[in-house]
Amino acid sequence: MIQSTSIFSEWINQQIDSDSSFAFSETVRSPSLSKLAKGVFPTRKDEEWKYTPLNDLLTLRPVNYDLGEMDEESIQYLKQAMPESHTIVFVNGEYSDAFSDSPSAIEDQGLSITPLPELEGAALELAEETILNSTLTDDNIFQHIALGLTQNGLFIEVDKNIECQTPIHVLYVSTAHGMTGFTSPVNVIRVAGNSHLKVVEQYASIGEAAVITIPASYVHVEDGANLDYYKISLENAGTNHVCNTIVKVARTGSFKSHQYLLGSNLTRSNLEISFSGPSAEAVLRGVYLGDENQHLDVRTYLDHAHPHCSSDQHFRGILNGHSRGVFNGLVLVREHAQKTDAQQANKNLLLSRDARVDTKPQLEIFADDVKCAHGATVGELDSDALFYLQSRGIDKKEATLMLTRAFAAEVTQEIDIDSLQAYVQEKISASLDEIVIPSV
Amino acid sequence: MIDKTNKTAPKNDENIAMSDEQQTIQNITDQDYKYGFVTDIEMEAFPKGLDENIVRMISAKKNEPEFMTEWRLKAYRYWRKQKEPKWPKLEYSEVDYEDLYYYAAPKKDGPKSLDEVDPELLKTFDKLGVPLEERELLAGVAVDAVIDSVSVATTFKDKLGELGIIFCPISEAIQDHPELVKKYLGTVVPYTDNFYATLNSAVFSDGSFVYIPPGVRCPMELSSYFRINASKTGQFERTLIVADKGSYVSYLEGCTAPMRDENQLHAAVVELIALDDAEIKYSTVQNWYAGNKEGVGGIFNFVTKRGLCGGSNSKISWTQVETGSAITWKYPSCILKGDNSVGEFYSVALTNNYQQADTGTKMIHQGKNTRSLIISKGISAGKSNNAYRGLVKVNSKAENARNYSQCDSLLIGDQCGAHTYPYLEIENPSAQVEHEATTSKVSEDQIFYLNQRGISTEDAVGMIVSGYAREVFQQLPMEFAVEAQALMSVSLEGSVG
Repeated sequence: MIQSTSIFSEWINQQIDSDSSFAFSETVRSPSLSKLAKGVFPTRKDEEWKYTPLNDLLTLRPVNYDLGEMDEESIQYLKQAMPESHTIVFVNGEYSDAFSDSPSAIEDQGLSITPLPELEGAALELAEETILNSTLTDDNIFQHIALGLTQNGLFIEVDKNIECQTPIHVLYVSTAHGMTGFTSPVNVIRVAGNSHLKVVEQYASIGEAAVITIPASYVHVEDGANLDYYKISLENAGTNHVCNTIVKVARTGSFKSHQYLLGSNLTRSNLEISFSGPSAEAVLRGVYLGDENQHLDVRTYLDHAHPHCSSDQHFRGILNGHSRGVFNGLVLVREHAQKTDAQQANKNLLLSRDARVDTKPQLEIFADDVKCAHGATVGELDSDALFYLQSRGIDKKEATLMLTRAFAAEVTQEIDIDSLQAYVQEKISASLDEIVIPSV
Repeated sequence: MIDKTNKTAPKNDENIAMSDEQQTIQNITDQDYKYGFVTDIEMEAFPKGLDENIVRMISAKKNEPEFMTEWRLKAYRYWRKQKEPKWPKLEYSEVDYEDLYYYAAPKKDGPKSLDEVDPELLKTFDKLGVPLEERELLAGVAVDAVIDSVSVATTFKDKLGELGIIFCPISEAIQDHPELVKKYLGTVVPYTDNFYATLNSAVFSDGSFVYIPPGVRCPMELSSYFRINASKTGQFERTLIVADKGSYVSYLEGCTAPMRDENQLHAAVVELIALDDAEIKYSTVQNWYAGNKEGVGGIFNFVTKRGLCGGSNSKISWTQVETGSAITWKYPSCILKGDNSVGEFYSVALTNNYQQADTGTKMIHQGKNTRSLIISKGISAGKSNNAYRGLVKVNSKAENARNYSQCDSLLIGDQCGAHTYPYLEIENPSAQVEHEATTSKVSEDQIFYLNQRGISTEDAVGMIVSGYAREVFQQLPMEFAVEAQALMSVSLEGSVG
């Protein structure tokens, strides 16, 4: 283990010493750099990483790559999820002027989208302040890799009382061939009082790119504001994806998150939400779909520190081959957070003999007048339901597909961008077509 | 004007309701431990602290055969290398393991009958309301009474002997039935298991041993009363129950402890082994001293309980009512190794004042068609913390495993905490595993409804809590159910009405 982490650590140290232009000032970077200097990676003895070994990831030696080749056709293909949106494209971690919609084309007044290298003055200060005001309970080294080493990313800011009609579609595409690339974009999103915004983050790869993606997102939803935040992870099997998302929701604010983790060799998504005022709301949805040796780990942490807030989580896992799914959710209801309504559900479907699920839905409650419930299930498809469909002349494979698609659709149907809903459902169906074998 | 008065009136009501509730909580908090007393019996104690010599002395004191001494020493050496676990959601001052007595026994050895039993001891039982004589008369209950570390009275032995049932202190079993002890001791909880179990393996003083021969249905509930008595004596009970093929036994364990200011350590180990078609039902009512209102004193209860459903169609059922102890760390578990075996866990854990409980179960499915059921009811009051921590693991070869878990929490007052940490590890697709948990409080509506039926608030809370925990109480044998109900009402007394 020491041997293997040293490869990655060594590489990190090279990055720190390189003369790249990093996105953030020393104020943000230095605490992270000092953490990086210690180079402590979580092991399976860390409760939050109990089910997720990092050995494979840590034996990789990433390289820096230049802006890869990218063609209009590929971009159009990736844009199909969100044909009507402001599209921002990052290719191999670099902001791409050519493929992105120009920020000046944005019609919504009061909405500004700035790539991190172009940030300066008050805007940079605001972005950094947002980061500094966010703390992670799972203070893992990956957050510090992102903050300390990132050269790119986005700052999205919405002024007060703005209803942003057009969703923002942020595309992170990897194109590198035959080498281990590395990106760590940082996204900072601020939605000011009573504004509404929809953001879709999509991670994709073209070709055989083997990439380590370590994004971090910092989100502030202010009083009465509304953010719908979608994340579609569809990278190829050579990719390792470890992301941290830290969200603060103020009084009467609403944060909705959808995560569709459909790709990568290793995916670890850590989503932490805290309420900074009463009557705020968080809705979390997600599907993780794994095959072969994929490892998918979802961690959620909901901190209810104020009264009358509600949170509702619903995650579903579909696991085939030798894949492993992990759900690790915690709802913390602090003293005085009375009238909290917290729901947490995790349902898992095992499609193969060798698939595995570890789920840990947790509640920590310190207030008495609350409504908290959680549930978790693991199982295979209902044999009665399969039989019913077969008795109607549907063959077993098709029946399996129908039921599995329906299992996922209970979550995906809540996506309220039509084109995106269709896209995600299609991607899930396509993956299932591939992995469900007739003998199942 | 009218509007205003209308608006203020309900507010006042609310205030009154609130203060009622606070009063209730206050009352719970103010309660003293009912069974607080110290039995004044001369104790024979070894020097404080632990080293190989003490382990050898304990073993020699009990005339143990060579293999036991060696086993204890192996455990002791292993324990020296271990660190106390820090992962439970518990906060307590560190235990100084060098400042404990590891052996204490009433000075008079081996009374042959009740007449020879120290009268002080009998008085203790009287105070507890469980005099041995009456126990003897209570049809179907044999008591293997343990005061501190040495069993002083065993009843109904002859009657059980006729059926071939062995029910005796484990120290006796080591001498009279070494082959059985050697075969089974440490097979479910090995001496390397965990910090506390390892310590127990090294220094265990006494406990119960039960062996039910093939095809025998034990005609009575076997029961053992434990008391922690000598000041600063770590209590290390070791219980081993073996149900041979096709047999059945129901075992009861219950405890009350004298009031004391010093924290007392209790690290017991219970091992259950059920062979083919055998069934073991193990019930516990635990009401050790929980510390005073400020959280000073009270028992530290670090217990390792595990059952092995070794044979096919075997069944192990744990039922526990936990109302005492300052710290409870306890996970009665089932290893479902035999095909078609069944594991059950029913628990009521009540914490009050500054009590802390981290308790739950582990269900390890290994055999085919294994089933497990978990019903856990946590009740937190005062400033206490009550956590359920459970594991359901389905191994890749455990076809058609089935588990259902329900873990409910009830909060009384806004200063306490209720936590649920379930772990589900599933490696077989044919498994069907469900976990559900809810958190609620005793609602004002419920209390109001009972109030308007003429039931005082205190009785109402008692009724609601009893109803809430009923699923678990129903699992207890009759004698225990009565005691458990009484304990619950004692614990809630003043809180409700």
